[in-house]
Amino acid sequence: MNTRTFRLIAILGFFFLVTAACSLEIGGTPSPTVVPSVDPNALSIAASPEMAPLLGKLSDQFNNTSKGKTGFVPVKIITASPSDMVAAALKPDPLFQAMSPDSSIWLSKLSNEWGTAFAKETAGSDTLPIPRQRYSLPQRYAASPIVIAMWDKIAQGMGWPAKPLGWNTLQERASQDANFHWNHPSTAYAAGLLATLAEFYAGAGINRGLTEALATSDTTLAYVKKVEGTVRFYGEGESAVLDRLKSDGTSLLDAFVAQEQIVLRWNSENPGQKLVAIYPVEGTLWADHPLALLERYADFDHSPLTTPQRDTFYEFNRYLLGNDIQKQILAGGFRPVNLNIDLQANGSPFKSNPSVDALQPKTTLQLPPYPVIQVIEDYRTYIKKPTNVVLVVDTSGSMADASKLPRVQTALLSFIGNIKGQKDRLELIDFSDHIKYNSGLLQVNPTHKDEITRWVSQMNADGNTAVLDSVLSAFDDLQKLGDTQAINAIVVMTDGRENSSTRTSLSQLQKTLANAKVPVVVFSIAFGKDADVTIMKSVAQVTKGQFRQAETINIEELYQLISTYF
Amino acid sequence: MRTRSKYIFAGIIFLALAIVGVSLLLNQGKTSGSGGLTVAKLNDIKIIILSAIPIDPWVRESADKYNAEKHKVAGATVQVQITTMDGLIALSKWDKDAFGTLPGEADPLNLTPEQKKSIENFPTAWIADSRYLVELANVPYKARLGRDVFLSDGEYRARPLAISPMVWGIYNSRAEALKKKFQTINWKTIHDAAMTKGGWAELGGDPAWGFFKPVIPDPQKNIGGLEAMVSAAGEYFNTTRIDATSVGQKDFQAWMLELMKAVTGLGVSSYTAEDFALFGYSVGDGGLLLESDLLQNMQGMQNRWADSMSIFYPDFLTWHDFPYSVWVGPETSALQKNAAIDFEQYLLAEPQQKRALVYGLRPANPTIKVDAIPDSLFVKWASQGVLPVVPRSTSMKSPDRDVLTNLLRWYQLNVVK
Repeated sequence: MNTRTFRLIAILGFFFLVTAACSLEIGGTPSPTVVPSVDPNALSIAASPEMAPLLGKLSDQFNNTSKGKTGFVPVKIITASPSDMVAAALKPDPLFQAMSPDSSIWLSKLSNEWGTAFAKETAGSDTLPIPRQRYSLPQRYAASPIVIAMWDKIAQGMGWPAKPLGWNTLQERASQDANFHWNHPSTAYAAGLLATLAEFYAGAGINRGLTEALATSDTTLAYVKKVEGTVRFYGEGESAVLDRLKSDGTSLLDAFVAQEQIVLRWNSENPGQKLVAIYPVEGTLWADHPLALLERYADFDHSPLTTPQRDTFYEFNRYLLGNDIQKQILAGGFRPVNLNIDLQANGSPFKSNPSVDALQPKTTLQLPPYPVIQVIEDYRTYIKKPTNVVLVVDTSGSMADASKLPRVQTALLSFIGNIKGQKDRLELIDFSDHIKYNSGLLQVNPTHKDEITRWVSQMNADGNTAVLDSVLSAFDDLQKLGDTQAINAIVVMTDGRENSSTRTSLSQLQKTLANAKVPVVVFSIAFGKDADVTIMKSVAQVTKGQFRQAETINIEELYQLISTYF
Repeated sequence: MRTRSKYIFAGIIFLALAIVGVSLLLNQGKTSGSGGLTVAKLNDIKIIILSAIPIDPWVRESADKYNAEKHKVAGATVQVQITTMDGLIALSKWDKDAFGTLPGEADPLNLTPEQKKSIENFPTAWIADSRYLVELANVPYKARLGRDVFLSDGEYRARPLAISPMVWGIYNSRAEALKKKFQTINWKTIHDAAMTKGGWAELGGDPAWGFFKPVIPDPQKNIGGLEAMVSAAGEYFNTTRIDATSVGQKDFQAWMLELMKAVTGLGVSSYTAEDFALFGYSVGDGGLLLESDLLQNMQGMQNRWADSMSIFYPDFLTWHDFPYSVWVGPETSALQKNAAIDFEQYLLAEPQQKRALVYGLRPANPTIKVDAIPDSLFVKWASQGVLPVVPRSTSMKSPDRDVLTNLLRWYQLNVVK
């Protein structure tokens, strides 16, 4: 063989080997079609706010143990309210492949709504009437009964533990004693849904068999309205209540509805006043923390569930049920689903703890059929008090930052869209060193919403900041209206420091707000690191409202959240 | 060859080998990333087995052992991959052809790359909860292909791996009160207890227990629910063979509806014994559940609720028989089918059949008694009423598809909505 031939063979051999390698690559694992927004290289799990921190910690541990193992992808935790998870899962290509709401009720809701969307598939006489499922393999990894969390002295004052307490005793006490303050989460959470369901049962005068007709009867709704009128404040989940108790003091509430875990958490983190868990005598529900895999369908979703995602889900599920992890779940105040773990073992938060009772609850309330659950979830549209809300918005020069004003405009538009009650009124005050625009309190209807929306869309950032005067103007408008039957609220946002008010000072404004003829609640938002936190905190505190700090990343979320209070 | 040429030659070969090596490494990473078990060598063969949830722990344990022992079929090492799937979800997928059978015109010997890809994860065999499901799954394929895809005779016929009846499980504290009130436990007494307006106060139990809460699995989510309805119909009509006309009778439907509406409803729960153990008597006082499930969770109930369950056998028995059914179609190769048979024989061999007792499953092999090993759950929980031999004289016959479909439609229209 001459050198030239040799070279030729060598080059041909080279190309043959390279081609073989490439064909292995192509033939072995063609890359799947993936919609860019869905991460195919991770298993994203949406978790409820009460569980997300613990699940995040456990997923980190899992990722460390499975690092380098073939066939697995990292687990990522996304925090979302259960109702938001359901809404996302009903759409194609949700950004998560699995979900862990606080209760199986939400999976049931998903199942029903999904089944309705594909009802035609099971309508034919030849097809099996088994609906297509959006999720599979639901597995619980923790549980916690929903209880009435009450300060021990107050519970003892009501006869506990000798006397069994329940929903009726709570509702009666709240109705008869104006100084008794209680709260339940919004119906976007299992605890809120249950507390409201208990009101409907009591209103209908029954303990099971609640129907849509009974739930929407005038008598039932009148009762629910009366009881809801005694609720100190609405909205959000249980963790937010704990945050408020920490910031505003324990006198804020006498009782609130929450998972048993919240009672244990408060007692372990706070050395002072203790909470006790009242297991309602009429029955309760469980927050049973399921973890379910979302099935994807080629005729609905674009991004398939990959085999590594499915395998990782299965492995993560198994991991969560392991002894060590279940012990961590117990340490977090939840009841582990691994029944080999003794709740009374040394180190368990249940051990010799009079605040909780591991052998409770004795009975549960019957969950009504799905249409009734829907009535309860949307109960506020049936019974809510009318709301007069004034949006006070700072558009001074510092808001000119590209990341600020556009985000606030989007948030405001979303907020305005969420105010739907026909008896509600809405006002917009746009201010800098003076009031640039005041819409006046307008009845909520499409014409008025359009009017306010138009102004929001053309807002400009300029001038100094007169936040105190602007809040006073909002307050004056609500006093002039004099509507004592409604919730009167001001939602004020500023990103800077007060430097231009002439009509009032902070101390004067505090006095004015505290001595209002028509009570007004202030929700204040300090937007960004330069905002005047002292002023914003003070105006909220004096009206028993809420103060929040926002970054540009969560301002929309915050307005969205506040809108749920109305 | 001159020295320079030798260097060039060696360089080319080295470069080529390096590229191939890197490519193979990358390819290996990607292949293993696409699934837990993949074809690593030409001589390996992968089979995917769909497993019903109640039998899954035993099947997985067996599969792990089988894989570790490196069984060979026609010289190829078999790797078993278990996919856990609820029986009704699997049935729904078969019904909608969601596993993706090949189109009629496909030539099994000359599949396109897309066709090969589409059947890469096609199940080789299915372990359903019950023979009911296998028969139902065959129906759409018979209409489409003109033949069954799961056979009832021949080499690939469906064979039960283990059996487990649906039994009454009632918390001891509640069972005592019920027996005092009704003397016997059957569908009628469960119905009457559920209809008692005063709840446990009227039934002779602790008023704090609330209403009597029967537990019946949701038939849309658990085949046990469908079996419960079949068993209830059997007792109502006093027959072991029910038909579509019987289940359509108004008086039966009204009676069944009363019972179903008394179920507490735990959201998504399919009502397994695991739920019972986790939530205790708070969600249900007693109900019809799978025996193996109850036995597996008995210890947990005692641990968590300081109360365990009494087991009673219904007059009209329904069973899970966990048939191992090999898919008969061009989507899996002959080698895969034979590998599936090999794994089936492994499961039916004495050592694995004895291991089934640890999971509360009754071996399909009739020569193995339920007390064959000391750690059998049947031995451990004999005091709770579990019987070594269950009389089969009143076993319900497998109902037709029409009966099951009618029951499911009735449930959807009257209970769910």
